[in-house]
Amino acid sequence: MIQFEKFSLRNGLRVIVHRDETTPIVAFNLLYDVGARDEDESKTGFAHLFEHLMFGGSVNIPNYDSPLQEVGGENNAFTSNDITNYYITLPKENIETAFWLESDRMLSLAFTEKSLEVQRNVVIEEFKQRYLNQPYGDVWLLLRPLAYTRHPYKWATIGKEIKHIEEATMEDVKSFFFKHYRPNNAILSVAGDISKEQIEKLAEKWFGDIPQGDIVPRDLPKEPKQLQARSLTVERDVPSDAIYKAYHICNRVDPNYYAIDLVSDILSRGDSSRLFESLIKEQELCSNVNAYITGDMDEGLFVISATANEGVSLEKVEDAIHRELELLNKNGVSDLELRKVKNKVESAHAFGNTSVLNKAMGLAIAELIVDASLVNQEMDFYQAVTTDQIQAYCQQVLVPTNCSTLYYKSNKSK
Amino acid sequence: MIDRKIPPIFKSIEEVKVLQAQELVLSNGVEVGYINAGTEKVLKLEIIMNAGVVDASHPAIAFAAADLIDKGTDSMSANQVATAFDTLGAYVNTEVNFDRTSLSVFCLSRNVEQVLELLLNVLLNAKFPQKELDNYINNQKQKMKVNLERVSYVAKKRFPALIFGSAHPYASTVELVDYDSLRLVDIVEFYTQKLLSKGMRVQASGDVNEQVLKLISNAFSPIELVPNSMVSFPKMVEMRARKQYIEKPNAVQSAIRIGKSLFNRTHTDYVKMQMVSTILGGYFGSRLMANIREDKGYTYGIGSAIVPLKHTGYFFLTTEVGKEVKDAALAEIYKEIKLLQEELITDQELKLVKNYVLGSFLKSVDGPFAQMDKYQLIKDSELNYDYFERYLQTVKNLTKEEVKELANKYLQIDSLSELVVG
Repeated sequence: MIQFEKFSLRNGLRVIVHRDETTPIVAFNLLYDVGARDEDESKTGFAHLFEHLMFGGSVNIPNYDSPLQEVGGENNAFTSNDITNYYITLPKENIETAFWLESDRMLSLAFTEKSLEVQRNVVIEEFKQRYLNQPYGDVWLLLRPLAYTRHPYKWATIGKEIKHIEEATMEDVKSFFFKHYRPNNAILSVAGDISKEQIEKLAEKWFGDIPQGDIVPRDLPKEPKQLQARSLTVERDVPSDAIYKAYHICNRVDPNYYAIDLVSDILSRGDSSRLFESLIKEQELCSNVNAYITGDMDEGLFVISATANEGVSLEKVEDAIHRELELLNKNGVSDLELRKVKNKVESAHAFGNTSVLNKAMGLAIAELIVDASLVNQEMDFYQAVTTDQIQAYCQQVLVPTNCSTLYYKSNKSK
Repeated sequence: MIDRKIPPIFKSIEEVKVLQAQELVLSNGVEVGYINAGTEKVLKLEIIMNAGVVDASHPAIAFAAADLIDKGTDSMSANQVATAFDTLGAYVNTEVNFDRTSLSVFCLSRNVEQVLELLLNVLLNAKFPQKELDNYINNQKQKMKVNLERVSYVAKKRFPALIFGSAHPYASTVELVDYDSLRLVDIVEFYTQKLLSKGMRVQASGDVNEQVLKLISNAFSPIELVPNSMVSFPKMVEMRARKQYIEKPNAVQSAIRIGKSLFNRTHTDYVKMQMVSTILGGYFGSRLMANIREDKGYTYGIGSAIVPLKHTGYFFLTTEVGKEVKDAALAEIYKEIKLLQEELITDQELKLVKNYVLGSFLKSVDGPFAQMDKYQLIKDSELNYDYFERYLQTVKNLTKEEVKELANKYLQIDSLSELVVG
């Protein structure tokens, strides 16, 4: 059980406080409800580029990192298709520095041309390092637009193409900021040896006078139901053929989310999982195989990926995957299998709770999904999943017509 | 109205209390280090074996032994072992480095008895089935082929030979062809003669109550370990600095590694040099990051570190930069090193780095698992807990003159080897 308290400021900033007296470290997590899904299709990669700009100095503080390092703190951030999340850990005595720094960035950024210029380059190098200069690095750049035809999940967080980042202007940057980086579009979560009263006072002092913004409710195009199998074949300079199969699944608040998450574990978590045992050990078709869900807020994907062994065709690998899914749809899963993956989820959860940063982040994300109390209910939701529910839901989603397949072929295998 | 230009008052960290592990020595000489702390009903058990890559006649043997140790026992198949751990909700992990091999497991307190029994069965009765080895070889070869396409992987793999000399144990590496000559009999021999030899240690952290401790001691006391046959370690010879370029025609980025062999934690200058390395490239606000990423935008990231090994250590810095700016980036890197040698660091910057390092240290001893890592660190380096007190004092007392002096003493440009891939 993670005990927490919650309050809101007049400007709409939601604050969650969790007390953990056992640690000298405080975690400060500020989540903005903006991600790549909120971008314009002609200006993708913006939420992420913006995350970089957040470190280029704010209106009253020219350098974000130095003052934090000076008080013994560390920070980082990440952007996903759904959210942009900033987090700090620092000695509890110096918690106010986190409030000072984060509130000033929320008030306004410095918006210097130099910072924009440099971060454009940094992000372009990141694009190259992680997506282009890596074997199989562009898989998600290809798979997203195949799986999604309308919903903005069709582009990756890094952006559709480098050009969009190169073309970002200061005007774009400013309007993005004032549209999304407002207190009533953010959730602050603080965990550590601190009290609610202390956090209330600090939140009011530093965030209280930041004006709220005019947040336009999100109205994204819904992805139409996929009725026909789709596929794409590419050839790349990689050593082995690989296959990626993406099936549309429910959103984050649907009870079936927990069922399909457990299915992905049954298929590929650990050496006793079905796909590992069958495709790698028994049939020796693949050198690695993976099943996972994207975990998105809106309707997401269930993905199976596999790398074929030398001399094994992708068709053969795909047949083997299909057989496993048919088996799942026809016979479901055993009680023992379900118990096993539930146990693993339970211990992973308990381990997650040993870190204040994990707890702070979990609370903020839960609050965004429905309510912070979700962190304490999720284990029950996983426990509540039944073998019947799993089979019924698999039959609904793990079918060929709901699937987009990427055949990623090696140009060396010819 | 608050004046947002004025930072809040802060406290520098004066003291960091490191929670010490307690120790007990079993009748057969196995040392158990344990920390009973934490808020969750979970614990971590680690078995640290006194042999690593350098102790094997070929590094591939040590890697294979670590990977295959939990792939079946006399009475259980690989799948049965995995199913048993999974069913208990336990996460098993094996790791091997140059000097040691570890087998560890995370589990819920309520399952500790069964997990421990299983873990011991795996450790003592590992079977190493041929089929598992074949499978391992196939998967490793595939993985390596993919990795060899990555400039950063190639740089990491080839760098030790450049600084230690290719014949040195710390430069030994596994090549694709080595898998073809990997034999089960050698792996089994390494397992029985080296992994199950004296010097094995056990670590337990988290919810380690009296009862757990008793279980551990009952489990490990009866095991028999063979005498340890230490490999003689070659004396370090000073290598001439070398430059190497490995071309990868299709790469859009170049991986850069620069560094030299240095020393480990037992050296009096180790902590101070760690500070010099932090100033140069050891944190987000470091000089290399500030210049090469935040000013020039040449890279997504750049960093430097000192890696302590059992018998020595090395300094390195690493980055991946756009291919077209490779030379410009190299020039800037050397410029930053020279700057450390020629100009005194400002009081302000030194203070900042000290506070940052102390804060990181505070974080690095937070919670039972982190505290156990610290215990492992001193055991691995054959130090005692005084080390951390000395560490803190050294960090706090470091002067700007020392920084300059050490940069001159250990980071002369012509003593640094350079590897570029891409």
